[in-house]
Amino acid sequence: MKKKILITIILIIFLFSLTGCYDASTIEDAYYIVAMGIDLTSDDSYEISIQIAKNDSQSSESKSQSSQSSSYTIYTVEADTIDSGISILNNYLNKKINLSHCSAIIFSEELAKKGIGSIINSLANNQEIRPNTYILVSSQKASDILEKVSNSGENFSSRFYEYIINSVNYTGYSVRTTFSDLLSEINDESGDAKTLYSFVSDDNIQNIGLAIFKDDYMVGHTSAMDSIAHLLLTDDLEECEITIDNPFDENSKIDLEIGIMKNSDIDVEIINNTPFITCDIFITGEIATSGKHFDYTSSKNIKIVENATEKYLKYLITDYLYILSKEYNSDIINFKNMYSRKCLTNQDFEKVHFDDVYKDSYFDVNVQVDISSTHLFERE
Amino acid sequence: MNSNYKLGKVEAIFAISIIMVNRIIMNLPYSILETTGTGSIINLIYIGIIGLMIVLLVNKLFKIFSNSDIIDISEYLGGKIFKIVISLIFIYLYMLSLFTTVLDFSNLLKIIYFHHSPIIFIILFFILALLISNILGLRSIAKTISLIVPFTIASILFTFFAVYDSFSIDQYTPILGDGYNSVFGKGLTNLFSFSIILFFFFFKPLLKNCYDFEKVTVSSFILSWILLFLTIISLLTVFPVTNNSSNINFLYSIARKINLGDFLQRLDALFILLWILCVFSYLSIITFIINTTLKKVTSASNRSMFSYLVAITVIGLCLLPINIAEIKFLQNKVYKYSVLVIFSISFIILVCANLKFRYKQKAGGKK
Repeated sequence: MKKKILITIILIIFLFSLTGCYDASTIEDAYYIVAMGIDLTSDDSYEISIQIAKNDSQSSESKSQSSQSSSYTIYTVEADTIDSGISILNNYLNKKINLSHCSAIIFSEELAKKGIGSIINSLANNQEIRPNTYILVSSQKASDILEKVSNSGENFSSRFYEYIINSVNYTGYSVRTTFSDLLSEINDESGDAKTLYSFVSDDNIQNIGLAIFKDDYMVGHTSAMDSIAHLLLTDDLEECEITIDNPFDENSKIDLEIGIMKNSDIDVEIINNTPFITCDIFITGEIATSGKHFDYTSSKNIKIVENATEKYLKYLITDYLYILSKEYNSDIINFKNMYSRKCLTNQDFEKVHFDDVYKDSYFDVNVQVDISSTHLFERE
Repeated sequence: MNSNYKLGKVEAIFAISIIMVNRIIMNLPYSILETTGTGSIINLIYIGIIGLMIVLLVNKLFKIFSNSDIIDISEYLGGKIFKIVISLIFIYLYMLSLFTTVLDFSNLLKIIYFHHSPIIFIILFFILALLISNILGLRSIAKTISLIVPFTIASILFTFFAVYDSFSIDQYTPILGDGYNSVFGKGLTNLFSFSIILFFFFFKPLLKNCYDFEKVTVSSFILSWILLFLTIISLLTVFPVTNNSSNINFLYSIARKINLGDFLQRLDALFILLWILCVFSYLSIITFIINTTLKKVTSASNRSMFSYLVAITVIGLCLLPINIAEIKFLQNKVYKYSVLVIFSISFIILVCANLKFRYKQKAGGKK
């Protein structure tokens, strides 16, 4: 009897506490931000732009056809902090804005050079932000990227930024940087951060190269080819195309599709207080085009192409590593962390003062290329 | 209701393991990493071996006291007053653990899901759970734990395998962290993470077969050690020691990062549900031990009536104006050193009780 009374009481409590919708929050109650752009104003406060997707059913200005697609609106406000900017936007709009579907956060280069650590830490405290939100640094205003994406003529959807950034998978022209990566790298003492760099021209945007950070300050950016070098060093390259001089005809070029054969082997030694860094890179390649005349039925010819590719990539990677160390003094490959495995204790590790000697690093890059295919034609 | 219910072997292992699982959820690995940094892996192996030796020693010391817990043994050693003192010390430790867990986890839930709800509502749900489960008795607690523990362990294993791709030896080096003294000297304080050993002192009378005590303690210790070890590896992988940022809950932060393709994202919601159930179970089993201790101190006939007392006390403690920094201080410092001190006291009691038993046996033999 006692048990029945207890169960009844519990059920009654649950009936009132677990049901009811007076404070329910539904999809119509919020504006879902698709992307956020943050710029610096002339008085050093932030210009926050948000791109909001409006469901077709909600919006009278709907033009799109895809079931996933929506129309969009961009709102911009100025504020001293990100949270106050969001509060102003909440006040201005008739619904609360929600960041849980924000697929990209874009910083202007001008702002990134002044430091984005406080913004990243502030956003990290907002549990609506997804760890896999993409981070971009724009060569011009961040709001320009939102405008250009909106006016691209494509059906706009919340996954649009994902599609743009995914081109990295088959071009290797940049890196995919997520919010959690950047947060971790900016707060990590043993390495520096990098993000995807977007170049804004008159009527389009291109994800090209890396934005390089020292601590939380952007110190420069690299070219598309440098980002291929970066992906090769970090074993993150999926596939990409490179063009080298044709070793059989100096007036023509050869296109190769390259990928990673096996993980690179990087060794960091400190000799006479100078980091001596050896990088062994293993690459597999396929010859895509070879000009008018070629003959790859002979192994000797393939070997010649392999050697030419090795030479090209060795130069590319070495050049990139010296840019990072000498020009930017930024350790985005995490060599410092790699050296830690040679030390038994933190005291041994700290004695080296890696941050101070990194700019004097000497790099020895060895590239091994294995050409496995010549596509459909082997002789022309 | 089932006041004489006894635990089977597996039920007992799970009941002890839920304590470790709960400590892991409540940021225990962070406390270890704070002490020993990258030396935590070597330190865990080191304190794991010492912990196992202590467990075997405790088993040996408990051998002659069949069906007795530490409270009965302290009564045997020093009489009723001594029993009351020891009971109060254990009640202090468990109440500390109880209310800091309720406050900390309620705070976490409030931040994540119930931003606009008063925290007292969340606290009351936990209080309600510990109250109902203890009124229903040990059987319901044991069955619930047996249901939840496998899933919670699976969630920790899943977290470990989800970050497998990011494993790099560089995250765990320098392997000795701040040096030998940090890992093998100062790192000894990390033994507090095996506070489950303190719970062993209460489990012998709860077992169906008291001869299973050794198997239960050793198995639950090894299971707990494995879970802690895997969590530390996952944590070091995702949040290297060189990272200056600190989360309010590391396991939650890892769970947020888990993505399996486009289909499985934001698994933290599922994990949080499991952890809520896990915290419910933990609070229930702790309350049960407090009730048992209070019953022994007061010689009362019914242990479940103390649940109301415990519930009201926890509500009272939770209403104290304590901020998150103070909760962390209580959890990471006060609880840590309390565990070490109380364990030392209990160990001395066990040794002395054994000596007294042998002395009495010898004296009996001479007569």
